[in-house]
Amino acid sequence: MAASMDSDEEDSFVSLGNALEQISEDEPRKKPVFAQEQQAKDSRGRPRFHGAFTGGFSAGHFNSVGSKEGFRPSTFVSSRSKKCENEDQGQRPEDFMDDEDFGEYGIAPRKLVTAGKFGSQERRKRQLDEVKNMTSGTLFSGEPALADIITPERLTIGVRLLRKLGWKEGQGLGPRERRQKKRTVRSKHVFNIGKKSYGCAKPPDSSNTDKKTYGCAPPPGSSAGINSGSEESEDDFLEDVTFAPKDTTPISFVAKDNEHGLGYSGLDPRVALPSTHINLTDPQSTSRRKFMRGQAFGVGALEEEDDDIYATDHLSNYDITMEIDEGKEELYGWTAPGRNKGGGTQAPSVGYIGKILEGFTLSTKKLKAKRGFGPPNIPKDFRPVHKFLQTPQSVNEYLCLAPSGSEGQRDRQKTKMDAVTRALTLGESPLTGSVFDLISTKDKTKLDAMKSTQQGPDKDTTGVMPPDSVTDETAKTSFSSQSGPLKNPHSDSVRLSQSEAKATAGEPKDQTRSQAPLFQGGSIGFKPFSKDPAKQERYDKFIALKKQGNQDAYEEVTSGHMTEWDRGQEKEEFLRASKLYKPLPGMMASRFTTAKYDDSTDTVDVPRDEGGDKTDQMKAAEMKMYGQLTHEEFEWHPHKLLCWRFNVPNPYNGSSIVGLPTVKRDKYSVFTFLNFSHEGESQNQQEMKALPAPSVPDSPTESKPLTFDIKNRSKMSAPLKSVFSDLMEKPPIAQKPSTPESQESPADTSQNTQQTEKPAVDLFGAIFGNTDSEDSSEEDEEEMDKGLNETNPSHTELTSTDPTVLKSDDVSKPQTHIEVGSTNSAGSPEETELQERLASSPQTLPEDEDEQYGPALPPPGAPCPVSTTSTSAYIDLTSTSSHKQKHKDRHKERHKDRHKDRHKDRHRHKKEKKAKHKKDKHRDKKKSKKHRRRSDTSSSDSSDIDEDKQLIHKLKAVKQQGLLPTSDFL
Amino acid sequence: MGEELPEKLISAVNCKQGAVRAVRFNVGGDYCLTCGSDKSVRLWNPHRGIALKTYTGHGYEVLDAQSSSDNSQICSGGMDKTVMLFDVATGKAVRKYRGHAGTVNCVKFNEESTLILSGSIDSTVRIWDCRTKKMEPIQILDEAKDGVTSLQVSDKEILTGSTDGRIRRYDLRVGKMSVDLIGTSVTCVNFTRDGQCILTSTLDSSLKLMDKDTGEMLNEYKGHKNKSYRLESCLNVQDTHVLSGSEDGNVYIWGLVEAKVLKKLTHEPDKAVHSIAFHPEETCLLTASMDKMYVWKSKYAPSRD
Repeated sequence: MAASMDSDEEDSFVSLGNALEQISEDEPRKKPVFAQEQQAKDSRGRPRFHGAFTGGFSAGHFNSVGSKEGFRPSTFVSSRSKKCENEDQGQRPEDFMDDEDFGEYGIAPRKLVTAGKFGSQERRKRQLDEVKNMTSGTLFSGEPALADIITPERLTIGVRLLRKLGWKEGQGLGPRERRQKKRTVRSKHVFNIGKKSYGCAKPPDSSNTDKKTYGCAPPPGSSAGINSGSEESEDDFLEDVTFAPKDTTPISFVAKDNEHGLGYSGLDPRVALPSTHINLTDPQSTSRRKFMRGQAFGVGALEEEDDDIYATDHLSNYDITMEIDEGKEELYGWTAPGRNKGGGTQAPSVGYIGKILEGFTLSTKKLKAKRGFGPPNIPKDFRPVHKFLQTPQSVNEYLCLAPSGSEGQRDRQKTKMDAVTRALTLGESPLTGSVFDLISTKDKTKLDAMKSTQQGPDKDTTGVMPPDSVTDETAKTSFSSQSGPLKNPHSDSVRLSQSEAKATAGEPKDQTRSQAPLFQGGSIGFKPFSKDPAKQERYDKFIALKKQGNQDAYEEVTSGHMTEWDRGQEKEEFLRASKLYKPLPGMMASRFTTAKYDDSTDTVDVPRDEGGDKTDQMKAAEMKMYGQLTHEEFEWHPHKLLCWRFNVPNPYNGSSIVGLPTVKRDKYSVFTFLNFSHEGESQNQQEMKALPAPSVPDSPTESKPLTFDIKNRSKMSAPLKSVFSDLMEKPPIAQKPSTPESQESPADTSQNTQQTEKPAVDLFGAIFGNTDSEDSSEEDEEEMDKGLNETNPSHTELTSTDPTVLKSDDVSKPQTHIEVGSTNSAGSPEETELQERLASSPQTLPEDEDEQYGPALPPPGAPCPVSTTSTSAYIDLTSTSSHKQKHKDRHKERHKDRHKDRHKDRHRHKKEKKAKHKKDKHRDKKKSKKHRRRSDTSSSDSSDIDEDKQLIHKLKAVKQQGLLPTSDFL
Repeated sequence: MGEELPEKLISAVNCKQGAVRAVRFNVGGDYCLTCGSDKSVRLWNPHRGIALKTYTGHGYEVLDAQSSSDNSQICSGGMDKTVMLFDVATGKAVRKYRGHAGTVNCVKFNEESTLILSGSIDSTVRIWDCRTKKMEPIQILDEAKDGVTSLQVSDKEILTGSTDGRIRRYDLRVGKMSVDLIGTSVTCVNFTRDGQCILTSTLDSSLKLMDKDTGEMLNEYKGHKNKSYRLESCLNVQDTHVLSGSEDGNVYIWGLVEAKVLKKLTHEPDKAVHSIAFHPEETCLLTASMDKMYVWKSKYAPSRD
């Protein structure tokens, strides 16, 4: 499609010249050859000139002369059989020339030229002859100086061709036409009325146009009395005859290329000088002029001037044709200026002196006199010398004028009334914008002073207000607006109040400013235009106004001295700045970082290998516990060409992915803390999809994950993440028997966040499972026992190293949770969401379990049904102790099952591997080797072990015996 | 034969290439390549100590080279961020692949020498197809989080060692990438000859023998010094010994199983032996330190004049 379009486009274009060669990057570019490096070469590529600076000569065998010995002139040979052609002449000069002499630059170049007869010289000569002939009789005959001026008219080839075709001078061009037709056409032209007329057309001045006329038109003035009998015969006679079309005189537009006046023509000697012969036939319109005019004595004012008796008569004075004047027609479409005017007889206006030139008409409008502007009046004391202000101080002074200039502007702005100021002037009590407006001015200034001095603590009190503690509706909105667009008007108000104090006292306070809620977090305002204080001030105002929902906030802050364009620019700037820089109040800003991903979606695409938590791996690697922990496998899609080149079948035939497929991962958000799950190191797809571990700092106290235990507990997945922290610290665990009250306490969930996580028993299995040493299994059992003895230890233990991060939660949570537990209606959106999340977690979990681990869940009708409503599920989970018990039991069971299963799994895995090996054996030798190495301990076909492969095996065996004595699964 | 060690110094050749960045045997072991810091690759007969040809075209130091399986081509990569393909006979550059954003640390042909794999400091491995005229890589392995220091290619696997402390093994047949965390920056990775284990050198002065499938550590070799340079290690022909260069000017030889230092081949003291290559069939070791290439053979081997 695109290609065809291209070709179409190419078709529609005409390409001129040669396209430049495409420059390929790999080729070295050709260097341009400089003039001094260029060399003149002859046809055979030899250098033409030698010693070019001394005049240049051709030399040597290969350069000029015919043979090695040198130039050899052709010898005179004449024999009987072959007689010399130019015997009589003897030798010609050509005989002594070589081919270079005949060449282009030789002394006798041989090339195709126009014959002398047709050459320019000859032609010129002929022209001169013609000129001479023409001017022989005239005054300038034989004057060579004027020969150039007078050029004889020569017949052009076109004329000659036309003559050959039968054209005669005076005829028009085109096909011959019948008379009749011509006539009608002409008559139409003449009358410009659609009347039929036969025969000759009427003269234009004949009055009876409505009458039909036949035959020849009567001469002008005579009436239409003509016998109609001849009409017939004449028509017949004319029927066969065709006439050439009328000739048209080409209009020659002569460009005025001289400096004479318009209409000037030079003296014509033939006219000016008296000659004996009077040519009557030649048109001599100016013939009269050549004589003296008028009488010596003159005529009286009332007498008519006599005819000039001495005037030569001329034929042109007589009308010798019977044709009507058709001068107009000859123009054929072209209308010369003035000609189209009816009659062209516009009399020059009275009082017009002078001749109207041919082709010109007198203008009806009078020419307007040009208005002249005189030079400006120079003041008396003006001195044409300019003094520059050059000292920097003076410049500063100059600059200082600007603010003072805008002072008046500011005043003008202040007078601008708004609702509040009007209300004030009317004596009404102003509306209070915020609580702080109620404070007396004295207190306010005190507050301001305090705030300006200690910004830090101020930040803490205002910015850090947790959403839970926000009870007041208005306060909440203001809180939310705080995180919304822009800036804190508080700081604005501080700054503004200062500026006000500076500016003018006694003026009514700008209410638009003070209306902004004062307490919106004190922090250092963002100042994008801090270089230009005036601009910054405007910007601050702009922001403050904008926050109040003022749509055209800029219009109010703009200062009058700016141009329209400047204003537009600045507005743009402000808008951009306000969008770009949304400074968070101090504390919040320190808490959050710029979003890495879009907020609108819940998950982001990250490479799969980023999904895992790395800290455990690192620790494992440090402890040299390589193996399961440090080993990860990911699906990886090779490019199909890669497979092709490796001679390997594409493992994912038809997949369009290349490389690692991406996985959906939750973004790092506040809610991640609420129910994120620890990722195990298993390669399970489901788990990979689950959630990322947020970056956990390394310090031991904080490495305790801030998780709600529900998920972990129900999921039973080992929180591997915390394994090492537990191993390393072993915090003193207060074993407390759990009481149903404590479990039923509403603070359950919130407390869970601070509880240590006793690693699940099978965690150790996960780490040490592959070793299966007796020690570790004993340990395992111990741990299992422990886990059994402790009735839900993780719920009762409070860590000693509990971070105080969420203290505010401690205070606030109990109430909210009671609320949640009892009524589902109340609660802020955050809380409801939290609750939903909490509630939904147990719903989703059983699925996970199902897919991950062997033992099946109890059927749907089991005592612990997964309730459909979120609230009941929540209550179930938190309050029912019996459920807990069961849960725990199941927990235990699963441990065992899983343990067993794991081993089974391993066995199965091995078996599968073996089977695969056997299959592969035939085609892959290396594979079979591996198989052998692997299987020699367990299977019988380990007879043919290579010597060198034994080494590896030996090593493995040593490892296994030394470190991991009992290998029940290998 | 199996217990023979390349302990006898046959020759020490000054390559006159500036610093010798790498020595590599060809497939048959008859010839070797040295990569010099003078932007050239040189082909040698190490057994006779003759320089056969020099291949130039790189814009900066050459860090790695390999000859193709049919000995007709040489690929090389270097600090000019390019990978080049030379014709052995004519010595002309056939291809020059640009695309890496940083120094190319290692280059390898695949088994059939139809692809060039290049690992770079820009944390990618780029796979170039030398069969076609395409100058773009057919695939980029960008999983590494830091520079790729070492690269091995087997018949169906690609093994990379990276400065992010991980080794990555791409199994083309299964379509899996397995990542093993080693912990510290990996400077060299090698398959054992049976292809079941991976020998890794890391910057904590240790070599580790890792099980390929499970990622378990099978053995660890210590005693040498490797703290800052990209030193190479290798196994001998029979997989009985592990050899590694060291920053103290020795080549250490361990027994594979016992993991005890059996032999130290002394070079110039305190000059790191950064590149070593073991003959594919015989007991012959090539090492590079400073501007010299050393040839080591079994003590029974006849010394060259």
